[in-house]
Order: sequence, then C-alpha cells, then structure tokens
Amino acid sequence: MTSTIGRWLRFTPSTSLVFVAALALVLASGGAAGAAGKAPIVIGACMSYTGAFAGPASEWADGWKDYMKQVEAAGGINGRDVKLVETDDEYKADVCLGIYKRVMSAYKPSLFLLAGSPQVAMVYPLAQRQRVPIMTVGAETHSFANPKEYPYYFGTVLNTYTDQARATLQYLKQEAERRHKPLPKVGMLTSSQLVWGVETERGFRPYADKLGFKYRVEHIEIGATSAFEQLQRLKEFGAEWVLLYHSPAIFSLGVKNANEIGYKPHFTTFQWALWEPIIDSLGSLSDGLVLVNAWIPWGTMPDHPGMKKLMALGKGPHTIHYVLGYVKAAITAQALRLAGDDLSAPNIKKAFERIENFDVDGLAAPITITPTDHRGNMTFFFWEVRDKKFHKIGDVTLDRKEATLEVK
Amino acid sequence: MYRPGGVYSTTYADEVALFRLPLEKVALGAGLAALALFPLVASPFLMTLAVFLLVAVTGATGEGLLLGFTGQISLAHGAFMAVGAYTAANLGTFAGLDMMTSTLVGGAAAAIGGMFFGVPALRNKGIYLALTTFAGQYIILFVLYLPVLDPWTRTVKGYLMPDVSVLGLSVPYERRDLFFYYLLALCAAGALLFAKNLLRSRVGRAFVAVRDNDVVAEMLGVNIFAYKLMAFGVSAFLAGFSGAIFAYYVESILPEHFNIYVSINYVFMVIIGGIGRLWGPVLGAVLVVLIPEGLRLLTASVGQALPAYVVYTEQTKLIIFGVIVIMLLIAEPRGLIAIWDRVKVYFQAWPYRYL
Repeated sequence: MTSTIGRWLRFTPSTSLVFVAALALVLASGGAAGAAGKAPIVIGACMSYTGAFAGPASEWADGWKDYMKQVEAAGGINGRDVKLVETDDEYKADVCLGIYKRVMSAYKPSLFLLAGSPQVAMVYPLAQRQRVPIMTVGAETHSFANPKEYPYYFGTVLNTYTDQARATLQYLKQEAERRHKPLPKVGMLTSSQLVWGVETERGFRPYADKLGFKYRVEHIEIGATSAFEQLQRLKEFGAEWVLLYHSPAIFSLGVKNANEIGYKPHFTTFQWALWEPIIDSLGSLSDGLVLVNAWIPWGTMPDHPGMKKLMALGKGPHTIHYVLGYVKAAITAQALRLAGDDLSAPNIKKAFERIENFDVDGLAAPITITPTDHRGNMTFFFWEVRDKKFHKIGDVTLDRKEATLEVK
Repeated sequence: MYRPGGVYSTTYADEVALFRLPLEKVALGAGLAALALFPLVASPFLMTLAVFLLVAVTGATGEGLLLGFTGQISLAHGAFMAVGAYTAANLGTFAGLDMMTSTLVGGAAAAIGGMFFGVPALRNKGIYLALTTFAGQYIILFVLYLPVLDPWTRTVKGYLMPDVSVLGLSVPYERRDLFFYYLLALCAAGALLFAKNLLRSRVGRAFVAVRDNDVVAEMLGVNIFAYKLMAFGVSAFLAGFSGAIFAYYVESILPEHFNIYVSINYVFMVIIGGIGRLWGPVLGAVLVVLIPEGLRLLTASVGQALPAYVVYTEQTKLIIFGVIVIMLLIAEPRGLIAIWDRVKVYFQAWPYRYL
C-alpha cells in the first residue's frame, strides 16, 4: 500500500504483538477483577444499554440508581453501601451468561439483575442452582411468579402481563356495569411464539370466559410489517377493545394499520408497548390509547406526594420505565433491609417473601410478597393518553384467588 | 499448497504428512500443551469464554469449508445450530440418549437440513444463494416456534436440557466447565484436522474447483451438485454438532438464541479471518468472541468510574468494534490470516527485510 492511510494502518509484527498483549491484559484483568469487600452489598447486573431493549433498560437503570443514591445518602442499608457491578449485555443471552459467571466469581453478589426473557431463559437455571435471587427489568411473565417453579425469581413483584390482561377485562366489566351497558366485544393481538404472549393469552382466555366476554385472539410476530389481516378480522368480529400486548414496534404498527383501514377500537396495552417515545411517534393517533400498569407514570399526578418527591430529584423528564426501576429498587432495598446482616441468597429470598404492605411513596399499591406467590401487587391503574399525556381513568384490584397463579 | 522455500521431501510418507515442518510440530505441541494447561489458571468466566470460543471455532470451521473452500455462502448457520440443539435435546429427554450420542445425531440431523437447503445451490449463486439460505434461517426458526410442536421445542419458557452424561456416567455439576472445555477442545481440534485432511483429498480438490470455476469444473467431470451438497452437509453437521454442545452447556435454550445474527456472525468470522484458509475462521472466531468481550470489560470499568456516563461508554464499544474491523480490513483485505502470514515472513526474513 502506498497511500497515507495504508502506511498508517500497516500491521507490522510489533503492532500485532502489542495488540495481542493489550487484549490479553484486558482479559486477564477482567478474569481476576477486584474482589468485593465485605462492607458493601454487591448487586450484579446485566444491563442492556445497547441492543433491542436499550431505551427502556437505560431508563430503568436510571430509576434504580437514583433510588439507591437516596438510600446511600441516608446511610445505606443496615449501614452498608450498595455497589452495583453492571455490564452491558447488548440484550444477548449468551453474553449475559458470560457476564453472570464473571461477576459471580469475582464479586459474589447477593442479588443479580437481568434485563429480559431471553436472558432469564439462559441464566436463571444456573442462578437457581446457585440459589441467587434474581430481579429483572422486564420478563414479568406470569409463571415466573410461581415460587414452585421459580423460587429465586422476583421480577414479578409489581405485575405480570397476564394479570394486566385480566385487570383490563375486570375494568371493562366494571365500566359496563357502571354505564348499564352490555359487555363490549374484546380482541387480543399478541405473539404466539414468545413467552409473554403465549402465557398472557393462556391467562386471558379462561378469565374472559369466566366474566362472560365474547373475544377473539389474533397473533402477530416480531418483525411483521403489516397487521392489516389480523385487524380486519378483529374489525369484522366487532371488537370494541383490543388488547395489543407486543413490542413497541408492533404496537405502533397495529395502531397505524387500524387507522388506515378505518378501524377505531380502544387499544390497550402494557408498559413495554406504550411509553413516552411511542406516544411522541404516534402523534395524534396516540389519543385514546390506554395503558394498564401498576405504578404512576413519570410526571403524571404532579401533586401526588410520591411523584413530587421523585420529580424533586432534579432530573428529567423521564419515562414510565424510570419509575418502574425506582419502585423495583425500593422493593429490593426493603428486602435487603429485612435480610439484616445475613446476605446469603436463601436469606434474601426469605426477606423478599416477608415484605408486607410495603409502601413505595404511594407510587404503586402496597407490596406484599409471600412464599407461595411472588406477585407483590394485584392493583392496576388505567391511563388514557390525551394530548400526549397520561390521564388516570380507573383502577382495578384483582382477587388473588380468582386471578390464579397457574395458567395452562 | 503452501510450502516455504527450501522444504522438500525425500520419502512418500514425508510428502503426505499433515505437519511437515519441525516448527509446525513444535507449535502444535506447544498449542496443545497450552490448551491442556489453560484450565489450571483460568477463572470460571475465562472458562465460559473459552467454551464459547471453541464452539465458535467448531462452527466457523464448517462455515469456512462451505464459504471459503466451496464458494457457497450460507446465512442459515444459526438455524442449523438450532436443529442440532433441539434434536439433541429431544433425544436426550425422550429417548434417554447420552450427550455424545445425541449431539452426534443432532449434527447428522443438521447435515440433512443443510443438504436440503443446499439444493437451491445448484441453481443459485452468490447473493441469490445467500438470500435462499437467509430464508432457510427464518423458515427453520418459524417451524420451531409452531405451537403444535411445543411439546418438543418448549419455546415458551425455554427447553431445559437433560443432565450431561457420557457413556452412562453423569458429569458432576461442579466439573461442567472443565468437561465442556476439554470436550470442545477435542472437537475443535478434530474439526480442524478433519477439514485439513478433507481439503487434501479428492473431495477437497473438488470443493476448490467448484469455488474457482464451477462451469469448468463440471466440464472436467466434477459433479458440482453432489459436491455442493456435500459441502453444505459437512458445514451443517459441524454447526449442528457445535449447537448441540452449546445447548448442553448453557442448560436452557430458546430459538432466538440461534437467530440471524448468529448466522451473520459466522460468515463474518470467515471473512474477517480469511476466506480460503483453514485457520482463517479460527482467527475470525477469536476476534469475534474475544474482542467484544474485552471491550465489554473495558467499558464496564469505565462505566464504574463514570456512572453518570455509563450509557454512553457502553455504546462506544460498538463503535470501537466497528472501527477495529474497518481498520483491519483496510490494512489487510485478505483477513487476519494474511496479517499472520506477514508476521511469519517478517521473522523468517529477519534480519533481512525480504526473503
């Protein structure tokens, strides 16, 4: 090569050796990365700062860290600081497994944070063998809340997708009774392949039958470029409400496609599909969309004491995932407080299961977790989008005995 | 065949030996010794990294045979890994087969799948063949997701693999990393040895003829369809076999663990490592597995020091990796193996500048 760039980029043997040596040094330092002292409580984390889940996960992490900063400023948990050892897993499950093993061997954390369902599928079996409690950003699948199958999983402390769907049906029934109208026809559009879609549907169907709803379920998968067929069938069925539980991209696609075919149902969904950037991107189409979740979205109800306190932290604007991270951090901190000086995994698990009527500044309903049910909350709020803001339109508290933990 | 100047044979055995130069034998011995002794100094994390690297080497050797030596591009490598993994999972769970048997049968199943998707190779070349195999990647994963197959794929919560056992002996959980490391080291070495021998044989020469000019090869009597199918079969077998072992190692699998990005990664390993060279995919695998991990450690450390900027520091690692790859390809378009060649020539010629 005779060009300047070519001369600069020419790999001489010495350059190659330096490169290899640098790589070896970096890897060696990672493999033997510093041991945790006994003083701080160490929490390991696979955070997805890049990849498909980057937006929500980054916001969630900010909320988590801001809560923990407050805890540290107030003297820590039982006199100990909380140290977060986090690495970006790019939302890749095998990368997360490597991070988990590295952090576990180097830092021996008391708890581990995972991002979503693919990571849980790959890492949780190992975490369970090692009896490490797991908290998650997402992956709020219903069966994960069952301690018989997932004894060390606490990602469902606020909500499960199935309960959110059930709460929606309960809300619609309450509204119909209040207005003395018949039950509306309901549609569901979700994935038939991914765990959060399949389990949500499995919980939705029997509950809808029990409440007397007429419903139709359609399926759509990640990567779809059109939802016209499914929506046309729902339109012909006459569904007035459509539970569109999917990724933000598919949710946006569904709302836009419905508008294009002149189909105007009430779309309702969970927090992973409808959040602030999606509202911005949908523009005027976002009016009338309904979010069902278990906590107050950022900036909504600014006079609420808990929201006032959150907004007074001085950072923002944030999104609903920030508040989710904040609330889950609060619940986790409470468990660590209850664990006392025994930060062994089995004791932290028991500490989580001792949480009773724990109030997170009113940002969510009081949390109660038991050894037989890791769903900490059965109260769900309904927020309608108007002028790109969330407005509360109702709330529902499910009966644990009716909204069962098992779905088949 | 590459042979340094001044090297000649005096016996037929010498002529056909796999490793002819004394230095090659010394390097091989040193390499095997390093592989054998590595677990003594490695942490659990480094063992996991080594296992993932060896899985990649095994799979990349197959892709290298197909892309590098037969000239057929396949974007379905991830799907073939999935076929091997799920076949092994079901044989282990329902038929009670031990790990080695089920992984070998998984590889065979993937080979059949590979040959099926290799049939279009008779009609398609280049980008069109790439698109055909791209479709194969999605078709296989779509089939795995079919609800009717859920009892055998368990895609909802992940397929929990059966316990690891070999010839009736169960592998203790605390020894898993060590077991998989040595097993995969043997498999990777075996795959490379197999590929090296294959390329010296009639089959290997036919592969190269198909790659260089399939029309002329056919005129010379090479059955190009048969050899293309064979290349797909061998490549898919190595993919399926490595996928099955990967599944046993990670204990729980979902189809999305074998998505299109896995397939693209394997093609990337061959290209960046060096097309048409046996060790090219190995070096490519080392780069694709180790460099991102090194960058992850670096940015995680920086993120710990600057927590307010952790999102930005994590995102820079993707940029850095991209820049590294671009620089490498500008510096040496023939791949990492060509850089290694230049290093060797430098030391061979030293203290002179040229040989």
